[in-house]
Amino acid sequence: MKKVLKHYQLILIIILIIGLVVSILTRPEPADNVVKEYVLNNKIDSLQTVIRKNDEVRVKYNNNIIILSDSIKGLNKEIEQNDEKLSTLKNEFKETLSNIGTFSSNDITEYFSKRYD
Amino acid sequence: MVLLVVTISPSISQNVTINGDTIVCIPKTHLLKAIEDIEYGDFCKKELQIITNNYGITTQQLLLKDSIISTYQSKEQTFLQDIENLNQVIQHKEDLRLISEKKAKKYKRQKNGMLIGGGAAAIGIIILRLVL
Repeated sequence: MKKVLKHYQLILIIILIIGLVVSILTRPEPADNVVKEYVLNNKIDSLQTVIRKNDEVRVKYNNNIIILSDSIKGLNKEIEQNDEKLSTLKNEFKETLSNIGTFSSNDITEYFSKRYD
Repeated sequence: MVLLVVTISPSISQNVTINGDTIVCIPKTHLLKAIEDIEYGDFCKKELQIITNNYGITTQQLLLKDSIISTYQSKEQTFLQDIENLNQVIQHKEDLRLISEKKAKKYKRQKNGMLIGGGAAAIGIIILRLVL
């Protein structure tokens, strides 16, 4: 006991060193870092949700574009058909003109009779 | 003489009235030309109808193409929004990385502290044993 009392300073220093080390080891993580991490993770989650929603919206847009393109193709076909009609009409008109050149008096009378009677 | 010219000339109409309507004699070449003009008129009407139809279709196509352009613009907006969001995600992940880096450094310090503390305790015990 005497020896302990004699070297109390040394024992105190050792206890203090051990206490210091223990306090360093068990020091809790700063609370603001935990909060920051939580907030950042939440922000990342919500941003990724928005990105996913945008993906879905783009799929809808793509479908819409396909429908519109198909409609345009359908209308193109209609224009082609009309062009064909026009070219047939032109040929028919040429033929009619050449026929008119051969009209006899009876044909002329018949033509006007058919048209206006 | 003048009367004779008037009656036999083909370019001068000779009128006959039947049932209240007048029959007019016109030279055949004029009639053929008239028929050609009538046919040309009919052809032009039909041609105009088809061209008007094509014009309507083209206008419709234009509206559809405008819709496609507008859809592409909306799509572009979503891409721009995504770029902005991804930049934010990168920034947040960078912040998380820094926090993790700090944590890793702290754990390293703790490990070193543990070693030093253990060593100090061991040395302390040895010294105490020697002294006591």
